Amino acid sequence: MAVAASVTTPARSSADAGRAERICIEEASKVYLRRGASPVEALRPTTLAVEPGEFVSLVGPSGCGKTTLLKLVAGLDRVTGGQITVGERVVTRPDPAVSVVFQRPALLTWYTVEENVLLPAKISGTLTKDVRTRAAELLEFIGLGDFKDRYPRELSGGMQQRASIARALAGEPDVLLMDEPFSALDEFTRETLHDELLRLWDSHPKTVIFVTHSISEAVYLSDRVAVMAPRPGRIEQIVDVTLERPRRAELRTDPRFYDLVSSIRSSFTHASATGDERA
Amino acid sequence: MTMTAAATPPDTTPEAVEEAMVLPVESRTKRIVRDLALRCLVPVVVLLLWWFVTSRDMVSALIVPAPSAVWEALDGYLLGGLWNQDILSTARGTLWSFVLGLGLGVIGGALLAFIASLKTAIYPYILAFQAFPKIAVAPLFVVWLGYGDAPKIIIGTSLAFFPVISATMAGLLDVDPDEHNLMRSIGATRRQELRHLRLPHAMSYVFPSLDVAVVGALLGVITAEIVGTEYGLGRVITERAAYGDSAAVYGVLIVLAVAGAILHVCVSIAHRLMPTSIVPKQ
Repeated sequence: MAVAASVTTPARSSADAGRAERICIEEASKVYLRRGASPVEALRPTTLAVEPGEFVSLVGPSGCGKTTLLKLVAGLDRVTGGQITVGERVVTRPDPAVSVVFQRPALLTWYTVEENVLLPAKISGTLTKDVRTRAAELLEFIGLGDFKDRYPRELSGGMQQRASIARALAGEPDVLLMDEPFSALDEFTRETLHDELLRLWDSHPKTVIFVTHSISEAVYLSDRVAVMAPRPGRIEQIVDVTLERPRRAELRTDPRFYDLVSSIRSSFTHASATGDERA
Repeated sequence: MTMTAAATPPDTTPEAVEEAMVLPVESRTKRIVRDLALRCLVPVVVLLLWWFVTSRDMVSALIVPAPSAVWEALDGYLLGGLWNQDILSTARGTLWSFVLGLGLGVIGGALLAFIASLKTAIYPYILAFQAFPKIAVAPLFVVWLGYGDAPKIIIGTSLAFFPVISATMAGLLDVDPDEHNLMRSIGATRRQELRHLRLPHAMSYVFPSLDVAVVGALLGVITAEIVGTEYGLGRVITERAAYGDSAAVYGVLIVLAVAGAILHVCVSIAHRLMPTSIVPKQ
């Protein structure tokens, strides 16, 4: 499927691009075997290459395998066929160079915001003065500078998710994987966080895979949107989002944005009769 | 990047929400004073009612002795030092029961949580044991172990142990899947996951269970003492009741109520003294 292109290639300084890694998904599949029942094909063999510094969204209804695919890339789950590489490394288990942001902030309530952000470095034994400085800068950058000594329960949902993004970025990962990170937030907070995420991504370029069930969210954030369909989980098509960057809130009312969103939405009604996507 | 004003109503910014969550200090102290006054109201009303009922001879002094008679009994027995050995014995039994129940509960809970086959094999029997009225076996223990501390500590421990073992097990196992995946994604070892995720999570279950455990310990000890012991407040109750000395029985009950309150406060203080990174508050 071809979506009308206007301006391509987001502007990005090449010096920073070295921080990000290429993700190569080659014929990766996931089949769950069940005793006494037919196996479930959660993900049909899938191929997708995500370029260094690229922002790709996986969008689709429940059961389309988007979270499964993300977990495979994260090394939280093993492929049953094919392989996934991040940079030169074949993914077999989690790696500190790949950060994951979960649907819920997953902040440990017994640690302060700062301690939570520093936890990955502490775990991997890389907690240096540099990491502390970077974490402090990150918290400042996303407006949590004054809240670093607070406990997560003292923060609003949006602030908690900001902190969890700061935690994911504090270790300077090459790849950022996000599993519906904003789905539990109200629309205003969500839109603010979209802009903050893009701002962060601009200053800390990473290869990003972003899972969502919201088409407009996927279009607003991404360079490319992989449209997925369920039973069995698969990528139906990949749509280039040719809207120029930096993207701003005005874009949400831009006709080209609408066109992209509605063309992706209509592809769902064709592709998957089972899909219940109403985003 | 800043949003246009139209897209972000001022009252939904996190900062505004945060401000609204912080109450002014003055109103907080006022509320504490008011709550304290409300709580004092109940004992005052009860005492007045008690006094009113007994002063009019509406019930027999054997059933409800006058507050003054209870005070006299407390003055004579408690302040006179006649119950010292009994109080000491009950306190010692309760403390041991609590400590043993806590230790066995935490160790047992951890073993069951980490060894799945052990849990499969044993946990149903622990549940069955919990449903079993342990107090009913108190006379047997007294027959076996005599009138000393041992039977009360066994009964007390058996009551204190269950809430702790189930809380420990649940706290170690019921971790949030996202938090578990987070620990895996940042490459935490099993030991690190235990230290940073499972232990604090378990402690947030264990500490509330200690309130139940400490009451269980006291209950078990008193019950064993009622069945038969040389010293103990349970013994005082049966003895005084046999003499028809209701005022003294009421006195013991008041002592026990105060003891329960003290134990509760001790648990709360212990909770507060622990570092937040191991024992989460709230």
